[in-house]
Amino acid sequence: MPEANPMMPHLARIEEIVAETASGDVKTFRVQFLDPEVPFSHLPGQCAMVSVLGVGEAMISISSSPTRPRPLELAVKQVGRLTTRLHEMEPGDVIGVRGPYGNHFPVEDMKGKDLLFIGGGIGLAPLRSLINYVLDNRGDYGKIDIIYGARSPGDLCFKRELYDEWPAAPDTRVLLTVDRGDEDWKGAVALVPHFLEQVHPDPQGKVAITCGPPIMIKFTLESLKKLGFADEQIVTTLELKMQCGIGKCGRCNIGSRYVCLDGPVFTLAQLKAMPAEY
Amino acid sequence: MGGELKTASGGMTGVRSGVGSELAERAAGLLAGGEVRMFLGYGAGRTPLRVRPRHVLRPEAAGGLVWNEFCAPSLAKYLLEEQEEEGRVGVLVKACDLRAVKRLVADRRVERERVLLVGVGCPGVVDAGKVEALLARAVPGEMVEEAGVRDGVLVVQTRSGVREFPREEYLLERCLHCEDPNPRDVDLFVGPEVAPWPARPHDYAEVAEVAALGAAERAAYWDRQFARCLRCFACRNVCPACSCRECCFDVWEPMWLPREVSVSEQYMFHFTRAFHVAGRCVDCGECERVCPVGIPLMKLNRALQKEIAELFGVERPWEPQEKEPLAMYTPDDPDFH
Amino acid sequence: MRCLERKDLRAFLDKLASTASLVAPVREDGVVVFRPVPSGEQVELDYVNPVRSAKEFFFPQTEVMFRFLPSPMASITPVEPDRQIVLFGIRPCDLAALSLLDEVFLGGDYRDAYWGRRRELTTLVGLACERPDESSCFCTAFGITPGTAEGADVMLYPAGDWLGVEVLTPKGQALVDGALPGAGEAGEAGERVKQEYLNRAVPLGERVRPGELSKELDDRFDDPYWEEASRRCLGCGICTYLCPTCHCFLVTDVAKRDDGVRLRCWDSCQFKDFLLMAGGHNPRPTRKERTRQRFLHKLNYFVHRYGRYLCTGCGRCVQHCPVGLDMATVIADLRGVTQHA
Repeated sequence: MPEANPMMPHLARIEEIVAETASGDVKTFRVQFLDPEVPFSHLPGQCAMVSVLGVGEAMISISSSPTRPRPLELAVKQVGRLTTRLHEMEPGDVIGVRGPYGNHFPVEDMKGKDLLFIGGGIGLAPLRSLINYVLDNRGDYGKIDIIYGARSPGDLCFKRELYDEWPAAPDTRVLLTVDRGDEDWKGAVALVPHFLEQVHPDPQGKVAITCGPPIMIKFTLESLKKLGFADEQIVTTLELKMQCGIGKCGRCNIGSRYVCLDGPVFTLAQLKAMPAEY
Repeated sequence: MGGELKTASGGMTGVRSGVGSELAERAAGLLAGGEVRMFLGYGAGRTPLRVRPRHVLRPEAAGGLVWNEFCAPSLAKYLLEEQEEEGRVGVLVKACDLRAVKRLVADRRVERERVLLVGVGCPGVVDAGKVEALLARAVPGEMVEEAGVRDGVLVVQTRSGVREFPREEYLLERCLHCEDPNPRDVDLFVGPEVAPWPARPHDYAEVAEVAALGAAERAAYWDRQFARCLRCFACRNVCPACSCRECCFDVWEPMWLPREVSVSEQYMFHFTRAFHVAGRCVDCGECERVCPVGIPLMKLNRALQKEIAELFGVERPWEPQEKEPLAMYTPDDPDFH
Repeated sequence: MRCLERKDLRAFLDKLASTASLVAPVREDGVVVFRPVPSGEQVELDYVNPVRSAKEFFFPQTEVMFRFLPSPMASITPVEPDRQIVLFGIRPCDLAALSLLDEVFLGGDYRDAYWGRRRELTTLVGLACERPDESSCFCTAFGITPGTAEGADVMLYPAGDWLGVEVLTPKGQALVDGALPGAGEAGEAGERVKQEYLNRAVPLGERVRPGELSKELDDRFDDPYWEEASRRCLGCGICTYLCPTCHCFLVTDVAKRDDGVRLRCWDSCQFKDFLLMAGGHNPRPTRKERTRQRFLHKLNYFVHRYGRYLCTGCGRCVQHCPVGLDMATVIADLRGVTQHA
């Protein structure tokens, strides 16, 4: 039965923990399965159910790209019981991981198009998986603009990539903004949706992919509409409480859709056809 | 078949149910005059033995209100949720329901001035669950077509005939103990006052019965009751003494009550609840009435009531007290050393 | 179809109890519930339906999924259900509910190991309904009848002083071969009895047929009805926990320093913390959203996903909801029909 039981986590060792933010409220966990044969291959946008045995499970989006499959990377913000326990752990500690779950960003449909990424705070985690996937398949995609914001400069995640790697990639721009700057901050000070309107991207031939806190997504969607993006050109992800991740526990439905099976990635066109209960 | 019931000789003739349209008129008037934004009363239920709570927001809708011997549910607990909205709420109360409202007011969870109490004299209400169980054994499956009270006897018509139930058999247990069926200190009173009937004393016989069992037998008794518990929280949700803003059973950190259902967790749940409402239980019996699996919850509440009555010399522990015995402290407390 | 004299029914149950764990309805403190019984003597035969449905024998209120040594060391020991049971006296509505839950737990890309194993380990002996409760049973609204045997291994059809015994699966055959070796054939009389059960009218079911309701509900998410009806909801879990088709669960760990169990426990969409997220956001903050979720899930969302209504008309919510916010009432209200005769 163990092999055939989807509720059974695979044990995984934490190899490295990286504090992403100045306050340390977001950390990236690099993990390796104890059994290297564990079948776990994901696509950008998919999630993993992470166990701290003794505390419980939580659905976490995978921030590493499938083009760089191991270690698996999970960027986690400390918000509740489980994430607090996880943040107290150290390299060498063992957690449980099962998945991958959910759908993924439409990497095939995006081919040949320009990509506009709009992220806020920890919302960059799933986008990072896609960005690195696209950069590793650079020839398949057009120009890349990455708009990313956080409350303060210290709250920006994945700084090495933001400041060094991504700007150095061909035809790739990284545009940063913060809600509140500090004396060293030379970049934009604006909320993400306002900043997006200032950048004023042309919707022609583009797909916009946005992920961040619900309030940011709400206003970003409005800004994108103002800029002329069609509902089909806008892709976002939803987050809802989950218990099983496999469509059984009845927790994460929005109307007849289950976020764990049919999401987390939805186009705005799909979202508009669903009840606004998320 | 399980039981024999007495056939009513007069059929359904002269069976009375309801006290006319006075209530509907008063409720409509209160809503039309803006004195209340909502009127909480009763509407017809799925069978003639049952009513359901009815929240009336418009004077035109007041016509659906009923008042009769089947109006068992207490509406007091709804006041808690309705306080979240602005405005005053009118609520129909029997004498026993008034104790529940007083409880919520005493616990500072409901503001008295935001409630318009409409009292009604109550002849005693029908325990539908009890009557349905008797019918199910005697005439299984048969639907109740008509029901009402005639000369203190409940008359029920099903396909196969008309049966009658004596008062002791059909009344809700709390009604047997009722000392005054007319609510006092209300804002309005509708209908006639009802003459009191000889009340059964609060002698805690049901508590003594369980207490008389040996320890092992008593444990087996409660194990069996609690093994049926669904942990649906209906007992808590209907209870006028359970009004915490955040119930300890809903707290996850620390987790006082795991969702795990085991004998020990069931004891934890029921005993915590009983102790928490001790001294504040108004003896309405709503917890036991709504329990879908027949757990005799009032035996727990009454056991504590009895202790409080004896320890603190409280004559009527089910009435909200001027000085709450478990919520105050004096140096002459017998336990003070 | 075989034939069993009614006077031999208890002996048949004794036989079942001697070969496997027998679970059957018993009357306990006036309440009928399914319980393990040591012999046929304790079995209650005069009942409409046990108050708690049969689902808990496949989806227990608390299920140990595995044992573990807690993180940070962490190791896992699988736990597998292993008790063989014969469940006697399950009604057609609960049988139909199991087939609906098979779709949820066994269908799709992920097969639930616990549900699957418990289904394999159980033999179901169904009992046709001699006296459906006219004021709460409404199975026919969903195409089920007092004699629908689908899902049973063996179905019993009471007929006066005898019962028709229909064997429906190899598991049922093995059970009957073992416990009823000498039973006679019921012949045409058996078929006639079965047909009577299949054709039996269930009045409330006729009155609250959902018809095209599922389609109509596509456009009724914002219907003021939800707000109005939900005002009387107590927010308890009676409806969801008694329901044979509700299956929401949560996953929780119970651990000591060096030992722990991961549990899945029933949960209810009617509880206010059901969707409360770690950050404090709650997508269904009031009674209105929670009431709407329960009924739309059963009458619309599930139909979109699985092509069937998620209700079998067992009538438990009808009987036990303290405020009359039950499936029959809501269907009647939404369709603008009356549920009373």
